[in-house]
Amino acid sequence: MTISTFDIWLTIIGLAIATFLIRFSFIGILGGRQMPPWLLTALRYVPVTILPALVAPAIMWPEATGGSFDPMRAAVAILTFALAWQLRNPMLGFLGGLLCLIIFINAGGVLGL
Amino acid sequence: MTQLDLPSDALARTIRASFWRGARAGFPFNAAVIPFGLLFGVVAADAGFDLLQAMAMSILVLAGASSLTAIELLTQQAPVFIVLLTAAAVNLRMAMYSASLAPHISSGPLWQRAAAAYLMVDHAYALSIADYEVRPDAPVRAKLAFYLGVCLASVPSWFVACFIGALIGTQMPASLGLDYAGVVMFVSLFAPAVRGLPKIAALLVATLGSLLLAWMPYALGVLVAASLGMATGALVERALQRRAASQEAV
Repeated sequence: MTISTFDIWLTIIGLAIATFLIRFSFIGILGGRQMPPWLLTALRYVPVTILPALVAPAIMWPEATGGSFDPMRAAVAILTFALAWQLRNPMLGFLGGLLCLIIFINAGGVLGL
Repeated sequence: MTQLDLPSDALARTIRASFWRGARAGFPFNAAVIPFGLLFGVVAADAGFDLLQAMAMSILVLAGASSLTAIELLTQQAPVFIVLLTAAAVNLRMAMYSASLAPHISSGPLWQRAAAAYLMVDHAYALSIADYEVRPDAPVRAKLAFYLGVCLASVPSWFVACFIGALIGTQMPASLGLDYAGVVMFVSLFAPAVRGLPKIAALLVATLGSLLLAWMPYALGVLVAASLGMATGALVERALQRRAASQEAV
């Protein structure tokens, strides 16, 4: 189904404003003011919760295989995690993961998997 | 001139040196920015964005992960309100960046702080805060110059890559696995941060929660699972602190 033009523009403008306000919050509006400790604690857990929650279904039920579990794609996700974790470097993890993905997909095609 | 002020030519030199140090530190990140930008452009075109819309999102939002989230949810026909809520939640980590940068740069000129806010990408934050910790007493203008140097060396390629990706769009060969490159990007973004029991617990709850709640409409399960994960992390952290405190008391 196609997305309506109106929805696309509303999303672009809404997300642009929301994102700028989030980024500008402390360096622009609130200055060096202290946040409540519970909020600081919660924010520290944003990266390790929202991103995994977002990708978990895509890893278990990839779109490209029509939603059925694909050991190859799951292996790519695990290898990427291990690489980025071990090297403590998102960029190298991403590039290594992409390389695994391309190799696995093309090897799968060659082997007829 | 107060005693704390450097002579103006020395200050100008410090600012210039900081800018170029930032640019050199930021440049290698093009290696991640370019493929991610291509990916964003291709995904946007696949979802039915025209070139103008893809570039408007690329330039105005300038946050790849949340933009991809928004596109994914739009293709699932989620209401715009839910799309915005979830995509903005992906960017909430930047409130933490902003709070952590504030003591260093919040006394700088407004236009530079606005530029820093607009350009706040993960590696600009990470590189800058690391530099500020090494040089805590550097002048505010030099700190902002470092930050802007990182951005100017690594953000323009984002726009170019998005543009090329949106042009190529659906012609991208399937053998490059672009359907899954977004997943690889997200996994590599959060993996290095998973250190210590509270973070591991938060990750597990968010992941399992998201899988168990995948039946919820409009990907609401993602938000619910992430919130449960955050609460778990905070609770485990507090429990560990309590235990450490009580052991000290004994």
